[in-house]
Amino acid sequence: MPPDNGVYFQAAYAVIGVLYAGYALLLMRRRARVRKALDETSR
Amino acid sequence: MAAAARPSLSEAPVAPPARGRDLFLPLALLGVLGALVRAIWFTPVELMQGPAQKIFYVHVPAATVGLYVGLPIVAVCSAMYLWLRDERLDRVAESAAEVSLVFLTAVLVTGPLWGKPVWGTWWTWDARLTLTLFLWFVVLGYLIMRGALEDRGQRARFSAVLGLLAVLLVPFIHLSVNLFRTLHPKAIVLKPSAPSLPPEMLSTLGIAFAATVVLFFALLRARVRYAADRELLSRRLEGEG
Repeated sequence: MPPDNGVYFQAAYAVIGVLYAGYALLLMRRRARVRKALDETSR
Repeated sequence: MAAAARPSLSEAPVAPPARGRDLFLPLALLGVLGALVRAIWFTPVELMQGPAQKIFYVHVPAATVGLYVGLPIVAVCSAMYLWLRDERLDRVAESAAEVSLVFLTAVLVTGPLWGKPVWGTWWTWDARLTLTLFLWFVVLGYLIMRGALEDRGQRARFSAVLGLLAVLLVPFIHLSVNLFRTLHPKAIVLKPSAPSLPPEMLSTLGIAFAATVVLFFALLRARVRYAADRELLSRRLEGEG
């Protein structure tokens, strides 16, 4: 029988999901903010 | 004879902002999600280590991409920047460093989560782990230094030198499991002989690796676009000032 340690890999996958998706969202928000400022300066 | 004048950084080209919704990044995230689904439900559990071994499918691709894709891009772009003084290279190096830091963070978080059930400890100060943590701090320092320097030329030059120095740690990290006594296992895929993995685990690792590489380039592309827009904004504001 393999050891019962599934909680560790579930935690690792959750961390990976939050880290990758969180950084992707952060990049989108940062760029949207700069684009908005660019639009304002071009008016 | 007078040397040919290099264009000043303020004259370096900044592409106009690309418009439209970027689907590459969401699709790349879905690819990683697909790889995780395959690892969770369609890959057998390793008998000795149990389900915790499945951390392998996120830890190894993150380490491989961060160390052997991201940081070499930082080094190559940094070296080319010092040669050509093209600001676009500085932006790619900066972006690759930030994205690599995300992958190195993934490595440093998932490693202890794998180490606790398998080694019996979250952390050990052996060569592989310590050097990876040290590299994480160097890349973090690179990004903090960039934020602290206002002069564009100085920031780009200092960053290029630090980026080149940071990548020198990568071969030491790779070879550390062979050079020093360590709890960390030796390479089972990136080694001269055939990979020591059953075919179904190897194929899941291959899929996870491919998805992670695609995600890296999607994040890098998004980060470079952001850097270009930020640069354009900065120049417009300077022009107005």
